[in-house]
Parts: sequence; C-alpha cells; structure tokens
Amino acid sequence: MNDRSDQLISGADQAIAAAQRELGLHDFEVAAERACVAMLRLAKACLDIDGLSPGPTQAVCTEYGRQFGRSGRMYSAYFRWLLDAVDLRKAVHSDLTRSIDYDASATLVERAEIFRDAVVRFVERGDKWAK
Amino acid sequence: MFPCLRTRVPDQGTIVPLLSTVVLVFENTAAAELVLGRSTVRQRILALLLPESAARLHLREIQRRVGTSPGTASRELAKLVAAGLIEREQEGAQVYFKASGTPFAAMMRSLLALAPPPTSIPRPARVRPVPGNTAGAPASTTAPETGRGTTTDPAETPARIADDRAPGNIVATTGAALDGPLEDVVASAISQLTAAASSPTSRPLVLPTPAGQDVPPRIGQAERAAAQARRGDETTAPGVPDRTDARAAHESWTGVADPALIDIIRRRAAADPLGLKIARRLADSVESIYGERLRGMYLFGIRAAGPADPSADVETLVVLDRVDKYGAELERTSHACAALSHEFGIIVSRVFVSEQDWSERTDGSLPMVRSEAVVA
Repeated sequence: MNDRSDQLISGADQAIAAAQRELGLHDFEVAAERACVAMLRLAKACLDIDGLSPGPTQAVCTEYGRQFGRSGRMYSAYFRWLLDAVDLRKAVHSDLTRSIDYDASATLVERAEIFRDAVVRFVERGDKWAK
Repeated sequence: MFPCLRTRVPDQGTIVPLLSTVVLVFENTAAAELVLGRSTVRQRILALLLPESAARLHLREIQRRVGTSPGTASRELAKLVAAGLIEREQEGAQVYFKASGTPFAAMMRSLLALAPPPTSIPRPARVRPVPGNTAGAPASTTAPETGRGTTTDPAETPARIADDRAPGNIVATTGAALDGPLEDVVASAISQLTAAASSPTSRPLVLPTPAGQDVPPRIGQAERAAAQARRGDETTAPGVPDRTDARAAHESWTGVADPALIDIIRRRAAADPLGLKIARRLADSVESIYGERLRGMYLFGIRAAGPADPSADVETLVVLDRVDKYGAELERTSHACAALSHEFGIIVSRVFVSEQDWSERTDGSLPMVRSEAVVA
C-alpha cells in the first residue's frame, strides 16, 4: 500500500464515519452524500494501484469500471454500487426527487463499508481477486 | 390495401409516408373517414371505378369484381355517392355507377393514375397464386363464380386492388418513389382533406397545450411517441418515417400545430445520437422491469442539448407512477445501467421521478430538466 492509497482509504474511513453519524441524526441526504464520497475515494485507491489518478467523478467511475468492473479483478457488484451511489448523490444534489429515505442511505453506507473492506484487502494483496 | 405513393415534403425535407400512412393521418377526419376509412371494400370500389379508363358498372358487376356481398357493395356505394366521388345513373331497372366529375374525385383519380406499375414494393406483398397458374404468369383477377378471368396488364391498371379473400386473386401493394407533379397533387389532396377536416363534424387534430407555459410533453403521449420511435427504428424501412413523423409532416402541411409532438421530434433530432441510443436501450430494459408503472423515459443533461464529448455521462430520467423507495428503484435498474456503462464505456445514470412531480412540480431544478429533456 502506497502513501496515496493509504490517504485515500483513510479519507474513505472518515467519510463512512461521517455518514454513519448523519444517518443516526436522520439526515439521510448528507449520509448518502458522505457514503458516496467514501466509495469514490476507495475506487481511486484501487486505480492508484495501476498508476491511474482520474479526477472528476465521472472519470473515476468510468476508469474503475474499465479496470476492475469489466475485467473481474474485483467483484463486479462493486461497480454497480458505485454507480448507484453516484446516482443517489446526484438525485440529492439536483433536488429532482424528494424521496431519499433511511433505507436508501443506510444501504449506501453499508455498501461503502463492505467496499472499504474489499479495497483494503485488494490494496494489501496487490493485483489479486479481492472478493 | 390502398396503393402506396411516396414523395417528398417540400417544407421540411421529410419523406412523405406511404399513402396508407396519409390515410392513417387523416383517418380521424370526417371526410377521410367516409371516403377512405378502414373499409377495404370501399377502397377496392374506388380503385375499380375511379380510373379514367373505367367504364360505368352496375351493382352486380361491382359486387362480383370487388368480391363482396351485394348488400355491402350497395352500402359502400351509397357512401361514396354521398361523398361525391361516385355518380349513380339509372336506366330503366338497371342502376349504374361511375366516377363523378367533382374536383375531389379528380384528385383521387390523379393519385391513382400517378401510382406506377408495381416496379418496387416498399412492403412485402402478400401474393396468393392463382390455382393452377404458374409462377410468373400475368397478374390476373378472376371472377371465381363464373371462372371467366380477365387478365389485366399491370400497366393498364395503375392500382390493382383485388380481394384477398377470394381465391385466385392477387393482392399486392404497389408503390414507388415519385417526385415532381405528385407533390402538387398530394398538396392539393392534403388541402382538400384539411378543408373537409375543418367541418364541424370532424374531430380536432390539435392536442391541447396550456397557453404560455413551458409544458413538457404529456407523459402518456410522450411515451407512446417514444415507443413508436423505437419501433420505427427496428421495423420501418429506411426513408419511410414512422407515424410520429407522419403526424408532424401532416401538421406542417396543414398548419394544424401539435406543439408537444413537434417539440418531441425537434428535440430528438438535436440530441446527441449516442446518448439517445443508450437512453433507448436503457428505456427498453426499464420498460421490461416496470411495465405499466413506467410513465416516461427521458434523456437530459449535456447529451440532450446536442452532440457531446464522447466521455460525457448519459443522464436519464425515469418517470414512474410513484417513487416510494428511491434505493429500491436504483437497485432494480442497477444491472441494466452497469451493463450499458460497461458496453459503451460511458457512465449511464438515472434519476427517478414520480409522475405527479414530473407533471406538477415547479420548484427546484425539475422545470429546467423538463425544458431540456428528450424522450428516449
């Protein structure tokens, strides 16, 4: 694990902790937003292994899907979760929907935790299957 | 089956649909309903009597050639006489029918006369061979009762319309690309049909749109248009527009505006093709997931505005009857989105909105999305 990956995973941990806290305070939108940030940081940590450091959210998702989702280097569901998280955050930011509820936020936070564990294993082991 | 003509719309450069589509376009109008309508018997009678070479015929002869019952032939002839297309002459006890000399009849005759021999067939023709006849034999219509066949050269009869129920007859759709004078004829036909459509008995063609509002396409209508467009992509032959385009073309000819529909078509034409393609694919998947619950599927964002950067997201908006659990809807469509994202190497995102919000909400960013959304 290099320094950048370490930083990204630490940042993801902090975001997940914030998401859990906000979930407890019933601020579901902030919780979803923090969980999404955590997942993006974790995806970046994975890409950092390959020397890739895309900036924008869209580039992170695209590159993660290309490098890890389609190739099978990581469990393919993680890519779906990442897309779902980004879409949920987009819905929150764009105020297009009013129905962000506890279930949606809690599911996202839980997925962020699972993804974090998988990424930690992946980064520690290097380029191996991290399911 | 009515003969099919094809020409070019002067205004928008749109390929004019088959004449049968023109019939469909105008079938809601009272006059067109009367003259053309859905009755194949009526169409066959017209094809029999309207050509200039056609002689006057008595009822039994018409009934036999058209292949229907005397009662049906009599009823349809009465309607055509009432419409001014056919004239009735009585000589003693015998009643004859022939084409009338009205402008409307002349216009219909011109359309039939300009239909060329069946050199090209836009749609597969259903051909029922004559019993005992060999392949490649001349096209013929045979009176089954008498067995006295009248072999007809296709060049002599521009539009051959025969009974597909009577054995031994041939049913074929004639059609070819026409240009030049036919445009004038079609324009004349359209104007006359439009004049007829403006009679008090005809139903209005204008879809209601609240004045002075930036109102999105109504959901049901938009979804139907999208479904037609999608079907059109798969089934419509190149150069033959789908019914949505036909309606737009009709309205551009007649000046009867259908703003919502025109707007849908205009936006679709301006949208990013790849974005639209991906949105359509997602719409197919989402439709199979939600079925009747799906009320609309739209492309919005940068790809709806026009050709976009190849890496730009494809942003879609799914209108459902209701959105109770946002996370559940995300989960349901997750596989479809991920699969498309993998396939195209582009992030495909979706936002779920309830039908009520989509129709009524005026706060937040929804009005802006509505104004730019393109039916997928």
